[in-house]
Amino acid sequence: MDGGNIEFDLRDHDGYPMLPDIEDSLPLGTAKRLLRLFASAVRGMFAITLSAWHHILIYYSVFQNWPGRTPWAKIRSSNKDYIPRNYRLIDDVLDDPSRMTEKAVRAYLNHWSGRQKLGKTYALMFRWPANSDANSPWTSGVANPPRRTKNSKGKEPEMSDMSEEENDVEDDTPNMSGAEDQAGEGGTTSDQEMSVDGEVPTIPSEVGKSKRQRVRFLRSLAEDREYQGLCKTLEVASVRILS
Amino acid sequence: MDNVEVVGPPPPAWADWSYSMEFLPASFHSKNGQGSFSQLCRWLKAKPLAPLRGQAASYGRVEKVLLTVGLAIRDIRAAVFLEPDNPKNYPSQVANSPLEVKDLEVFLRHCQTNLK
Repeated sequence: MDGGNIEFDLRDHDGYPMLPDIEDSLPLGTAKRLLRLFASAVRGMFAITLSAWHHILIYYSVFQNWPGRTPWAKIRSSNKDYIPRNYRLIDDVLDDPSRMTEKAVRAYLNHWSGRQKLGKTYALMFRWPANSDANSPWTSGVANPPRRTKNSKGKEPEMSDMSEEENDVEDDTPNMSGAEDQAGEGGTTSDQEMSVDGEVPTIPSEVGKSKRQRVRFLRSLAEDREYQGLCKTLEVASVRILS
Repeated sequence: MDNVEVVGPPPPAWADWSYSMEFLPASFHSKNGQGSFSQLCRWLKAKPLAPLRGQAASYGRVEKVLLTVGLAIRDIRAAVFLEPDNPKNYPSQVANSPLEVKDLEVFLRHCQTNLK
């Protein structure tokens, strides 16, 4: 990895982004970009889905899949509300990387990388505070919200993939409006590179012409595993973020 | 319109990036006829991602097929999971769609079988 392109590998089974190896020699600027892009990728691209192709009725969103820009100001104001305890550090505040010290940036990257190397289910995850009064993203233009439906036995699907420590994360329906998200940081310079991560249009003609924009739209249409798998075949552009 | 190879029956007219509606036209929400759900199933059965002259499907073809399938799934799901108490957010063709859960299952099975 150099200071130019940052590209995340994705886990095969759920598309969760994987951090590259974090070396001490990683330049600070690259480390900050990596932290920003990884947080954005985790926040915006990932939602647990248990649907099977032929069991469409069973699926379950656990925590994030927020549209829009990362709400750094809100996260900064209350790390503990937005980040479950296993994913944050006591001594360092997760903030917009441009505002973080080098020590904090490296500490967070090493913390998440360490979790990844230990085989933890997630290196990082966010949650939406239970006391938030923001509008739900699912009513603000996201095309295909994950539905919480019951299976044929009337039970919620089990989160068999989650270790006990991750179960401290509340089953929050994400509750972030894209518009509010964008207003949250006032469009800092460092945020501008993430503008492609705004709300996903609901109409094909409103989708941009880039591969990434198109793949994001396609992925928003259907949660089904095999459909998402096919989308991955187009995804190179969507996970390669140009400098 | 993007250039894609012609393989099997043509996809429906709405299967294009220029399509400017959130939901599919009324013709899709029909069991039979031109542009209907059934016709789309027949299009799927023709294996739109099949290799052409020994060449794997191009990026453009895969993209187009996923656009077609994705828009269809989204619309069928909207019709199937329509909130009975709040149909006003949906256009009439969706609110009154004859498509049911079993149609969604049929469509997904076609996808599973034919998009390889």
